[in-house]
Amino acid sequence: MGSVLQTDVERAVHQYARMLFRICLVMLCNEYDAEDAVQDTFVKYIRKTPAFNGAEHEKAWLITVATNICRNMRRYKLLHKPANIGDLHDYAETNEETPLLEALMTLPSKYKEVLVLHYVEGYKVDDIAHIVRISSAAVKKRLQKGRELLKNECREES
Amino acid sequence: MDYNRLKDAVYDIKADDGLENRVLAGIYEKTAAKGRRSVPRRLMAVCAAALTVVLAFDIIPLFNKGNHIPSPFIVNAYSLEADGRVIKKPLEPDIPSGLHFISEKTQGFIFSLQAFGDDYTRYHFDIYDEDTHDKIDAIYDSSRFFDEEDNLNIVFDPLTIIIYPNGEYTAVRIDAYSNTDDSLRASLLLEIRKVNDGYTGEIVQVKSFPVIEK
Repeated sequence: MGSVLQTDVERAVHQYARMLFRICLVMLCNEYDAEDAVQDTFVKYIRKTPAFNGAEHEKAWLITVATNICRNMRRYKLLHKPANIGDLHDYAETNEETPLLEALMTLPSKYKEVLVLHYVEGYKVDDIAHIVRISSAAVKKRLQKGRELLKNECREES
Repeated sequence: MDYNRLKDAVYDIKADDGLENRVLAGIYEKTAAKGRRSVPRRLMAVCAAALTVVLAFDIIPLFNKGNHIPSPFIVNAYSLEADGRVIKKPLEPDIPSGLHFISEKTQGFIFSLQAFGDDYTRYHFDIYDEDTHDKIDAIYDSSRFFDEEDNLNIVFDPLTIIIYPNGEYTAVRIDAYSNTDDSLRASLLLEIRKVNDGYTGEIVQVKSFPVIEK
């Protein structure tokens, strides 16, 4: 397992697995694919043994790798199997915000990616630009368009 | 609309207690698994038969019959021996090449890219980490490096690149663009693994793209 200590991996999994799972589930709309993406993210973590400047850097690195893996998986799924969000209620704990989650999941990946990083994980525009590797202006544009699409989606549903 | 509700919505996603254990079990399994996945024999037989038909009837124009250019890459990796000799090894796809570096200054994966039967100045290269898309720390156009006794070594290949991989494993993507029209002409995926105090390099994918005539 490279030079990463088993305790390091376990610490990272306990600290970040749930957060990564939620992001991956929103991106992939499939529980098993999301779990697979989380596993692959930690496999990269073990193989690459990156040096981090702190916990935030580590978290941002994991999110970057997880979103790239999700993008690759989605590319594959688009060719082979459309995403299915029919059983979304199974994933929700309380079902209070399920309509909003359902609306979020129907958005194109590039919009939900920035919406989740901004509103859920609390990243600023510049940080998101660094994670997603696009310009800050593009992040702002995607946030704006994503909000619009989400609002329309919620309106349609209600 | 209060978009901050998104946080509640996403955090409402159930991540059961077994998740961490399943993830840990999965990653141990994936890191322990060596070699490639086995392919069912029947599938291999079907693929072999299909390939024979394709080749026999010339369905796919191979050997650059169309406008495809060959990959501009010839990748030579260099190792520096204890006596100061520089050994050059051409990297072949899917064959790992062990390299041994002996001093701090030469730590790094040194290789050269040559334009195949062509002038290397016709291309410029984008070198980045396949997984994170981060730029890889690399020195381009350098034809010299120092050995452990500070002796200058010259590599007489047209374009020598020294890559400084991050961590134990780096998947390096090298895209070659034409200097004439900036189009992507070839893409190469190189896996570099740290082994003891050296590196092992393996070409895992080479793609070349057609020349689009205007």
